[in-house]
Amino acid sequence: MSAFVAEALREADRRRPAAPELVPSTLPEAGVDELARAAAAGSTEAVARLYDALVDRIYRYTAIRVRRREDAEDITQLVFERIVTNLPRYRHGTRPFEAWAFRIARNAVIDHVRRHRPHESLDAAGEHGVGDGLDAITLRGEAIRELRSAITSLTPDQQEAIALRYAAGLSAEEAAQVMGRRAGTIRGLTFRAVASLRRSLADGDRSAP
Amino acid sequence: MNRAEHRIGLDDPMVELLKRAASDVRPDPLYRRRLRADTVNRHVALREGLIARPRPQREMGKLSRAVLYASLATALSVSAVGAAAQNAVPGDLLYPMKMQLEDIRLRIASPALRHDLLAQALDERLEEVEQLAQRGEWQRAAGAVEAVEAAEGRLSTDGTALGRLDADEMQQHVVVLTDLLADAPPSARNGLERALDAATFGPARGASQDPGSTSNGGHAGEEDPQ
Repeated sequence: MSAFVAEALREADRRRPAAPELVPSTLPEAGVDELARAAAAGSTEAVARLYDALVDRIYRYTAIRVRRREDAEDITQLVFERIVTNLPRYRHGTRPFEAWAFRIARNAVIDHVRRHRPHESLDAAGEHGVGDGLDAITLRGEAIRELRSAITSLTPDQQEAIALRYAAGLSAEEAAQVMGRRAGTIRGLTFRAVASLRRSLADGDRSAP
Repeated sequence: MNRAEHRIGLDDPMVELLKRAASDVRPDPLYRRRLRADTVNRHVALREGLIARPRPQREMGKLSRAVLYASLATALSVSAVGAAAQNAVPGDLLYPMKMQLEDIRLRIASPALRHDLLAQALDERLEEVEQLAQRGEWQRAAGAVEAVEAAEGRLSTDGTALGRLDADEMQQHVVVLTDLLADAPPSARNGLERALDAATFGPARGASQDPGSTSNGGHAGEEDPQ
């Protein structure tokens, strides 16, 4: 490194403003439900941390349920607006906050699909599923490409169940609360979806030259 | 854990593949940062009263509606009974009076106010169903759904699009009703689903006539640019 460069770096260091002192968190180990309570009580830090905890999963869920990245971004924004606006209406203790938040996400996706296909029934609306959403992302590997087409052959409920379980990362119990079903039903839907995908991919392998 | 869960454990190759496919889906970092700032700002604005929160149950809505009520109520709801009727729900003694007052308001209102009153009537009917359901009176709630559908039908034939605030209010009902639906006994589910259908009608209709209005938390104006 030349003396000139070294001097320039030292000068830049001198001019750099001091880093702001980090404010210690008032909610160091809080879980999502606890953060939701604090957020409802007005804590800005809790809202930011709730956002950090949920944004990737909500985006992933919506991206998988709708066609385009732009739609997923619009819906995710809408979901967070509704979460923040409706925080005082969240009934703590009745159900996990994540299930409540994903129910808002699911409703937003259903609204979106209805708005873009006004003559389609709600059940049919579910058919815009994982396969379509995956068009918007970069996929690695032949197996995942085959998976994408196999997923479109699942029933809407099966697509919803695997989106909630494996894209949103919810437990069967939480997914059940989002879909208004029993946890056993979600486990059954997931099981049948996975079995069906396994069969589809095996058939694809057999028919390959 | 049941048998099905044992047979598709977390290490199942197919589950691994699904998770790998999903893990590729990530928001753009810039979008993510901007939305974080928007979310926090919105929270602060709501907390500080810079943005109006959706109205709590049993309170008046928009200022214009409050003015409308104040002027009409002076003429119509002069008695204590009339005032009490405003809080009646289906099955209450005073409920028929509440409906009559609404009907009179509708008859004497100018055409410019007619749509607001119809939208308000649908809002009221949905709130009645929600109130009854929240009190655990599921059968009465289910019975009140016919009035919801009638109000939605009148609004529909009126032919004017819902404004964005109306659409937002309908959206609040969708959130509350779907919440209630999860707790509803099987006998009340059909009724609540019908109420939900009536509530979801509003935003879609507002959206079709209000392009471009995606701000302010409203989703009513979102249109597919394609």
